[in-house]
Order: sequence, then structure tokens, then C-alpha cells
Amino acid sequence: MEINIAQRGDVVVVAVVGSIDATSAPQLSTALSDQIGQGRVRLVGDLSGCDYTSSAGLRALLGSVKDSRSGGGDLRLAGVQKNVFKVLEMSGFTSILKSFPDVDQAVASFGG
Amino acid sequence: MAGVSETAPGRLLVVDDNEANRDLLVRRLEKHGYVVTTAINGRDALERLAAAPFDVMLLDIMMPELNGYQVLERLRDDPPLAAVRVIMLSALDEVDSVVRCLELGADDYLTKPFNATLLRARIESSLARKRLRDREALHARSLERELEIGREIQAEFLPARLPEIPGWQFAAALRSARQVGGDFYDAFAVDASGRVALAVADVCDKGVGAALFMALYRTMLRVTASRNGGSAQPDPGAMLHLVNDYIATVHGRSNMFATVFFAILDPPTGALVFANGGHEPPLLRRADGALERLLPGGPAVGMIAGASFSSASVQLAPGDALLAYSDGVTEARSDDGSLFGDDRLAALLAAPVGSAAELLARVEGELARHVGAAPASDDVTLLAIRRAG
Repeated sequence: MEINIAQRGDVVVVAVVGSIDATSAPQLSTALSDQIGQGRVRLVGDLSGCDYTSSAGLRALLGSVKDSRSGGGDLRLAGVQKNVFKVLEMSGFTSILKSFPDVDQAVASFGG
Repeated sequence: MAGVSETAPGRLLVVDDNEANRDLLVRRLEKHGYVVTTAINGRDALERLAAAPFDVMLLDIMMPELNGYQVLERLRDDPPLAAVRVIMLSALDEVDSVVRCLELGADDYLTKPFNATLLRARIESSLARKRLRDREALHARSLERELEIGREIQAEFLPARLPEIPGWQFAAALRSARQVGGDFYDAFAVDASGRVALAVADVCDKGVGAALFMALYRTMLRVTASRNGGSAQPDPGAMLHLVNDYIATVHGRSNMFATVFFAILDPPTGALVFANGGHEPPLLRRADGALERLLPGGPAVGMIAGASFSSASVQLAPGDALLAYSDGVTEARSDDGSLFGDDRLAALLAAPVGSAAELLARVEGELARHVGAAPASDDVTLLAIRRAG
């Protein structure tokens, strides 16, 4: 798994490339909490390059969405692939996380 | 378990059949504060290595009894001894011999007569490598121990035996992955009403943390089911709601959650009331082969306080079979990385089910064929129920 971080206005896009499992999930958790710790709480998780996530990845997303919201921001997802979306939907994550077709729409949803 | 000290003096073993060489080395090395032991040939060296731990061995090549090559070969075949770092002691014209020793696993070499600075530098470098290796070994042992604790917790919290009820069959299995996860299944009589509670759950993530939460979920489900499962209209959705709010508020900082299938079965009537909190939908195979999925009626349990879980009910008629499972089944990977998949699991239920045990064996057999020699990455949990008929 590889993580790429890019700034889009006051929104930070955290792109995940590869699979998220128990070994790589802490890396995602750290990347997201580093941003939140620096006050950058408007986050987009770009999952267009992510082909698989285990429950450890969902746990990392859950922690970050809670922390970003308590800081007045949000974590929103973009470009979620079909099989990853299925996992999010089954476990009820789609009811707490907003998801958008692509990064542009996810960034725009924060209203600039 | 021996600790790893960065400050303890290096323990050296000097192996040389020439007494003058040995004495010279011992004097120099002891001056630098090393703890030095000597051996007069290869056989003597192996005996001393077996008797006490050493960090670095300074090994002559040409010796009676066992020579340097033979000592290296013995070390290579004996993993506990192989931890010792080896510096060959050679004459200037022994380049080919030194190469052979390095190929046999020696780390380094020194040529006679010894230069004091070089001797010290080579020993310190080998000692540093030995200490790094000791730290890694210690770390690996503590990780292995942690996994063992997780597996013990998990095993302890599975039911010792499944219910025995005339006209009903129960079968269950949990195969732990090498890196322990938080799967569990449960089946128990809720109270004197004769009803049976059934659960299959998968706590997120892996390791001891997941195992501890597994114990917590299992216990809370047991307690709520014992208090409410025997009521006139049991409501497993309300039970999941209770567990959900407790975990999400009291343990919110942990961000732990579990997908849970939870059901109350009334054996005399075959009524099964269930709630599915974000779990892989169990498959209900009707006696005529029709397949139904018991879909989620709420999110994973413990994620967010206030979530609601709807209860639904199905009627199990004679010959009907229910298979609940964890995603370790459908996400099991073969050697070439392909997933077992929902479709293959569903297809396995096409043929008539002889008994709950037969269904379990059928799925486990097909899973084993699919996975082959690939190591399991996640726990595999199966619970099968069948109404005889």
C-alpha cells in the first residue's frame, strides 16, 4: 500500500494505492491523524486506487471520521471501487461516511 | 528469556591449536575488556559453544580433530549455535580458504599477524551484528507470545459444546489464522424457555486487541440474551442496539466494531428471529433447494452510538438448513490470489444437505481445495444449523 497526500485549497486529499490490511492500516491511520493533528480536518480519502480493504482499514477510517468531525471537519470518500464499496455498504459505513464518484466532487462538497 | 544488553562485555571464543597464538589473542582481547574463552581445536570449540552462549568466535582454519570448515558446517546445521558471529583467523596466503569460509557462513576474517586496530574494529562490527540479531530474535519471540495469548482468549470464549435438541442439528468450526483475529461463534440455551441463541461475529482488525473485544462482545451478547431471549417476543435487534451503544460510548476511543449475526431460535416451532449488524448474510437453504439471504438490518455493532438494528424472522421447516459464516470464508485466497467468493459458497448449497455436519464438511473441504498451501490470512468461522426432516 502507498499513500499520497495532496492539498486542494483547504481540503487534504489522502490517496490510497493498493490493499489495506491489518499490516498497512496503521499507516493509513497515522497519515490521517497527522493531518487532523495539524488542524487539517477537511479530508478526502481517495480510494480510486484501492482494490481491497480488510476490517482493519475500516477501523482506520472510523477513527479518522470521528476525529475530523469532532474538530469541525469531515472525512469523505472518493472513487471507491465496486468491491470495496460492497464491504463499506455491508458493514454500514455508507450510512456514516459520505462517498463521491471522484476527488473533484468530494473536494467541491466541502463548499470551498 | 535472556535479555539483550548493549553494555555487557562481548563474550568471545578464541579457537586455535597454536598455544602461542591463543595466548597473544587472549591478552590483547582481555585488555579491551572482552570476556575471553579459548578452545584448542574444532571439537573443543563446539563443546564450549554448546555449554555457554558466545557472541563472537575467532576461528582458525587448519586444526586437528575438527578444522574450521567442519566447525562452520556444524554451526550451519544447528540453528541455536548459528547465532554466534564468526571471524576467521587466516594466514596471508589463504585467500581461497577464506572465501570458502565466507561461503560457509563466516562473517569476516583477519590475517595473521594481527593488527591491533583492525582486530578491535572487526570484533566490534561483529558484536554489533550479533546484538542486532539478538534484539530481532527477542522481538520475534514476544510477538509470537502475543499471538499465542490472542489464540488462547479466542479458544476460551467459544462454547465447549453445541446444544443437543431432538430434531435439530448444530455444527460449528473456527480455524484461526496465523495472525489471530476476533471471530467467534456461539450457540446456547437462553433460559428454561428452551430457546437457543445463535451468533457468528467478526471483530474488526487482528491481534490481542481484537481477541479482547471478541470476549467482550460475546459476554455482552450472552448476558442480554439470557435476560431477554426468553421473552414472548424476543428482539435480537434491541439486543444488538444495547451492545452497540455500550461499545460505542464506553470504548469509543478504541474505534472497535464487530459485524454480528445474532438470532434466537424457538426449536419447537422452528421460528428464527434474527438481527444482522453488518455481517455477511447467512444463507438459508430451503428443503427444496431455494436459497435465501438473511440481510443486514443495521451497521456493524459498536461503530456509532444510537444506531438501530431491525429484527426479522424466518420459519425453519423440516429439511431447511442455515449456514452462517465470517468473511474469512468468502475472502479466503488461493495460491494465485483469487478469492473463494460468494458465488462459489452459494453454489455449494445447491446439492441437498444431509446434515449440519455434512454441510460444514462440504464447505471446509471445498475451502481447503481452494486455498491449497496458501497461508490463511483471516479466521474462518462456520456455523450450520439444520432442522431434521
